[in-house]
Parts: sequence; C-alpha cells; structure tokens
Amino acid sequence: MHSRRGFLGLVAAGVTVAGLAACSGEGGTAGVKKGGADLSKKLQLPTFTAAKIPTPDLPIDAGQDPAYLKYPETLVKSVATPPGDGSKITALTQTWDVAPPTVDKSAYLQALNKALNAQWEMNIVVGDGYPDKFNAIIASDDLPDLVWFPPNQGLQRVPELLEAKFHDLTPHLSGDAIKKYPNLANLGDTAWKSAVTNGKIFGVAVAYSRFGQVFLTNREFWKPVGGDNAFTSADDFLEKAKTLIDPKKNKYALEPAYANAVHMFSHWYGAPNTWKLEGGKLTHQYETAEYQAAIEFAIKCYKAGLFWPDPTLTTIKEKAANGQIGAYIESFPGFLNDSRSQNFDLGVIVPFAATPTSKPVFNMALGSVGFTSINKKVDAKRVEMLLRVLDFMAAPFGTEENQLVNYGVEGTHFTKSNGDLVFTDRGKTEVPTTQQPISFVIGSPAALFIPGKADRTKLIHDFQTKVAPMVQQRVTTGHFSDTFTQKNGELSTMGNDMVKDIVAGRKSMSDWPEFVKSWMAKGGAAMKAEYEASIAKG
Amino acid sequence: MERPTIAGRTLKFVVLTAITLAVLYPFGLALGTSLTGKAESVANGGSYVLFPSDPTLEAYKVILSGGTVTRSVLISIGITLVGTALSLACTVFLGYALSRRGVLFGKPILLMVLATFLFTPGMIPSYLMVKELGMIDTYQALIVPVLVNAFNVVVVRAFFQNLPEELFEAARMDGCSEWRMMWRIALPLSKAVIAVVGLFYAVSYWNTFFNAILYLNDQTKHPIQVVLRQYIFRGNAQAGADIGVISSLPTASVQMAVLIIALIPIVAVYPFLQKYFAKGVLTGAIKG
Repeated sequence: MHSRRGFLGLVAAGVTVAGLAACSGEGGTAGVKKGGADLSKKLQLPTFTAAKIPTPDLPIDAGQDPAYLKYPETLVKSVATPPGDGSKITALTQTWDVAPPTVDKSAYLQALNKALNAQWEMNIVVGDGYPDKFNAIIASDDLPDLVWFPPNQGLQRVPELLEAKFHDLTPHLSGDAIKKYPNLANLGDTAWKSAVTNGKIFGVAVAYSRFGQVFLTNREFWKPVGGDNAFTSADDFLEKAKTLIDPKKNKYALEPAYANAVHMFSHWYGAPNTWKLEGGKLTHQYETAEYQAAIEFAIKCYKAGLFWPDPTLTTIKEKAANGQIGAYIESFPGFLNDSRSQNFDLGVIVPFAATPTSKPVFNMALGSVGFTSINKKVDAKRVEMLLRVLDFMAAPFGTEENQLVNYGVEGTHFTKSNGDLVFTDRGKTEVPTTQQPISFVIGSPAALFIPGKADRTKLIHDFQTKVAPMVQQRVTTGHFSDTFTQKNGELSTMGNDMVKDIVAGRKSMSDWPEFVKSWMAKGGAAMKAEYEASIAKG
Repeated sequence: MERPTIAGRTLKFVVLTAITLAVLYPFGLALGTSLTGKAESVANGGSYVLFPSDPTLEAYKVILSGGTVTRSVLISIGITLVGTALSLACTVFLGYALSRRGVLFGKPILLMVLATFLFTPGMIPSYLMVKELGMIDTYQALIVPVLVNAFNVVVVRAFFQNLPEELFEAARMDGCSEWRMMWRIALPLSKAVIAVVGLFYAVSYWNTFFNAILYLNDQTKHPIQVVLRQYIFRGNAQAGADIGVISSLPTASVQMAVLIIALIPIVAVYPFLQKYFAKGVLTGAIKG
C-alpha cells in the first residue's frame, strides 16, 4: 500500500489509475484502488466490492470501462426482492430533455414502480433553472425525500445545509456497512469522494464517466496528413492542420471553443488537472509553464486560422459531419453519445507530447455528477428503504435492473435484433425522457456498449487503453473549500474569459501574470489555502 | 400638396421593401429550417435553410404527435386570456380610482403602487408567499403574483387624468354614478390605452417562463415557453440512456418548428391590435 504522500506523488506524476479499477467491474485491480481510500483517513469510504456483471468482451486490465460488442445474452439479477415498501418516493432532479409522460400514460414508470414496489415521483426542473428552484424549495422547507446536489451549479453554503436538513449517511454507507447495498458498493472511490462533505457521507454518489474531455475528430478530414493520430509534436499538428484548412470552402481544423482547446493542448504539454500537489503545497494550472505554453500554442493556431471564425457557432456537430470542421471537444459521455448518433467517420486524438520534453497527460473527471441526499425528516427505517431503492437503480450494465432502468420492458420499449437493442416508438417516447431525470438522482458505473456499432465501442475502449498510462485525477476531489462553492463559478468564468481574450488577440500573453495575481486575490489563493488545509488533515 | 416624383416614389418603394424583407427574413428562415430534412441539414452544415429543396412536415408531426406542445400551447392561451382579462380589470379599476380626486386613501395607495417600482420582491419571498397561499403547482401561480404591473397602472392613470374634467362634471350634474362614468365615459374614450396595456400584459403572460419553472412541479402544466426551451436544450442532452434516441431529424428543424408554433398566436392577434398599439404608445409618451 502506498503512503498518502507517496500516493499523491503518484497522482502528480500522472501514473496512478486509482478509481479506474474501482468502477471496472469484475477483474478490477483492487491493489491500485486502495490509494484513493488513503486520501480520507478520518472517514472510511464505502468498501468497494465489484458487482457481478457479464464478462466484458474487451480487456479491463488497464482500468477501462467494461466494453461489450453485443448486448449480453444472459443478464445478472442483482437485487433479489423489490426494495420499496409501496410508498411514494419523491425526488428533486433536473432534465435537459422534454417532459416525460405521466405515470398513468407511461408503461415504463408503471413497470419501474412495480419492480421497485414504490411510487417513484420526480419534481423535474428544466435545464439551467435548477439552482433557483433548489434554493426556493430549500427556503420553503418543503423538501422531497431525495434531493440531488449538482457539483458545478454554484449551490451556496452546502456543508451547513447538509448538516441542517439532510441525513448523515456515514453509518449506513461507510466501510463494510455498504455491503447491504451491493450495487452502491460497486460505484467506486472516485465517485464516493464527491459525496463526502465535512468528513461525512451526506449522500449517495451519482456515478458518471470518470474520463474527462476528449478531442473528437472527423477522420476523413485528417486523412491527407496521415490521420488524426499521426502527430509528432504540437508544431507538427499546427503545420499539418494548416495544409487542411480552406477558408474559401468554409473548412477549418478546429471548432471555435478556445478555452476547451487550451484544455486539450494542456494535455499535450503535461499541465496539471486543475491543481498540482507537491509536498502538501498546491499549484494552480494557471501558474504552471505547461498551461501557459498551451495558451501560447492556441494563439499560434488562431493566427494560423485553424479555428472556425465565428465563436458563436452552434452547429458544430453538423459542420464536423460534413467535413467543414476537423476536430471538436466533447465530454466523455458526449463522446459516447456521438458514437451512437453520428454517422461520420468519428475519431479521437490520443494526447501526445507537444515538445520532446513534454510528458502528455489525460485529465480525469469527477466520476460523478454530484450526490443525492436524503431529507432529515425521513425516519431511519425509511432511510434504509430509500437506500435499497437507490441500490436497485444503481445496478451496473448487464443486470436485469439496469436493463429496466435504461431500456424499459422488452417487447414494449425495446426489441432485440442481432444481439442489439432497438427502441420501439413507445420506448423512444417514454424511456429517454424519464430515464434522464432519474440519471441525475442515481447513476451506474459507465459501460461501453454502442448498439450496432461495435467498431465505435472498440474505438472508445482503445482510447481508454492508450490514455491509461497518462491519466491524472483531480487531487482536490474529496476535499472541501468554501471559496470554491461560493466563487468557483465567477473564478472559472474569469479564467475562461481571459483565455478566450488572449487567444482571440484582444489581450496579450504579457497580461497573463497580472491576471493570475488578480485571480488569486479574488479567491484563487483562498481556495488553495483551504484545500491545502483540508489535504493536510487527511 | 406637391405630388411625389416617380423617383421619390420608387425610392420609398425600394426602402420599404428592403425593410419589410429584413423583418420577414428571420421568419422565413425559421419556417424554411423547420421544413428541412436531416440530409439537407447535414449537407448545409446545420445552418438555417431559407428554401428547403425537399420540404417535409416531419418536425411538426414529431412535435405535435406527443401532445406536449399542443397541450402547452393551449395552456399558454388559457393563461394569456384569463391573465390579461384579470390584469386589465385590476389595472383599469385601480388606475381610474387613482386618477380621481378625493378618493379615500388615494395617495397612500398610489405610493404603495409606486413602491413596487423601487422594491421588487425577491425570488424566495415570492416563492414563500405563493406557497403560503397554496398556489404551488397551480395555474394561479402564473397569474396572481404578476396581476398588476405598476408601470401599466401609471400609464392608465395618466390617461384617465388627461380626459377633459368637464365631461365628468356634466355627467355628474345629470346624476351619473362613478361606476357609470367610468363605464360609459372613461372606458370608451380609452380604447387605445387599454389595447396597448392589454397587449403588454398578453405578451408577458404568453412569455411566462421563469415563474412556471419555479412554481409548477407538474411538467404537464408547463406553458409553451418552457417546452420551447426544453426542445432547444434537447440537442445538448448528455446524461441519457445508453441507447440514445437517434432522431432522423436535425435539431434545428425541431427547434424552429416549435418556434413557429409558439409564434402563431401572437402573430395572429397582433395585426388587430396594432393600430391601437401605435396610438396608445404615443398617447402615453406625450401625456404624462
């Protein structure tokens, strides 16, 4: 087992795959995972126990997500009896989709309720209105049973709120206690760390992809220069891309997302995943030479005309599809979505060394989209029932429960065709619209399965294999900073705006040191001090 | 008066045609895009299409088949009709009363109305008030909190104050009651201002969005603007089922189709109110 400092050193060096194994189902390399638990010595994180899942079709030895080229023929039953007590379960959640059909018109919800032995009822907030609705409902003290806490929507005074209004779930979930909920025990350390506040587990982690942003391509676009993974350095990328653009034909190498592009370039230069930890001291990426080199490279790309000229462009996917844009940036779940829905020759750039001395990295994400807490007014017996229900809904890919939650009922919502699942018309109307708000309340560890497109599954798996030696986790995950909750939105906008201004030539790189000073003064330094203190406590 | 020259008339025609086309162009673009199929949209790099080569009503079929958009349009029409009627009644009565001299507590009430200009209630106090009144998840929550707009009261009051006082004196001498004076004299002379204030209210009820998100938990009660936003977001959805619904429709077509549907009622009503609208705005501008 690594010591804490030793482990963090490994994180900084970008060689750990902690947490990768945690979610990889059977065959996960438990030895690597233990490093994550060392970060939280005071609190024992839920003990990871790999759930039983059908054997993946591709290897998971480097921490890849379990990948299936065909839908598994035999599913595992992960929950023996319906977990609910017949009562109504209410949840506050969000959607980016259209409203789902009501229970009386939804065979999906009726089937789910029957399987859960509960009446699942969601208060669904549309898109970006979540923080406002959340605040109003908290103020009214009219809380549902389950409340979703998103990690990045600027919710204020979260620790105080959790202490005052929500159950401390540590006794139910910490250490071996979680074994009562086997599917929750399968979520993994990376996800669970995001559910820890003030040294207590205040919610159930909502598992999501552990992999961060990726640089996706239309491979056709890059063929004339040997493909989208034939770059020997950043300058080589620039030179090759220059030969491919044609402003007269509206053909550009990159989508106009300057800040995201800098993030991708920072992988090539080996910048830290937001913070670098060395000897207990943190350094923000803005302070590093690697990140600044990434901005300077983006300036070169801008001057060379690689970016699509209109920064407000919204039809990026369509432009990539018809070969007008060569590469664009997506979240990892976005990569999976595009793999399912886009028919062009989709590719992905594996980070490479920008210079002969650079050490390429790949930034991992939080592994969760926040956590779901239980209203303090709920009595202890009901808490256990709610955890059992969440356990049912967190069942991993390849289980009967996961199939019901994600695809509905066979024959009604989907049919099997040549080993793949195909939604029926009813399935298209009922399942995604209802499943999406559920996916914010509770998620299951990612699995790679692209129906009818096994080559895409291989593409994603191959990417995960290649970036495995380069991954770097966020060193602040599981640590809390008040300044982060109160000011991260403002500080992150400030940083992104500055990067965009510099890349677009409205400001110069010589303004950067002054900007970093001002960013630090506005909260960056306070955030750093709070995280360092939290990390020192262990 | 001198007859305009042919050159002058031609210039006017050209300028007015150009302005009309500039105004119509975005509508045409929205309509054209809503009728565009997937293949043509991809070939155009997702850009808007003015004249689709192979127009299809597929986007409208998809939207209207689910029933959500139809339902939400009906909800919006209902809220707009009921809300505008109630708001107009309250605003006209209040404005009329405050325009008369010697009304009991006239000044304090006017100050209270004006105070809402300066001190608008915050989101949370409003939410708590709506909750205490038992209006969460009801259509009333979209009407009652915004029933009276202080600006509109001031406009209506100013209009009533500028009606010739002699008319009211004459009516009074003939034994006319205050109610009849308002009904028979003030209102018939105030059609323009009532139309314009009515239009202000109608547009704001039609555009109800934030209050709907805040006060309505039941998505089946959402008005069209919320649904429209959902369709705009839908193209960007990420956390979804492992098998996504692979729509054969481009996002832009669906968005523009919802936009057209949302536009129809207001576009249909506006021409009938337009003459009052111009008159009413001018009246408010020169009489204070």
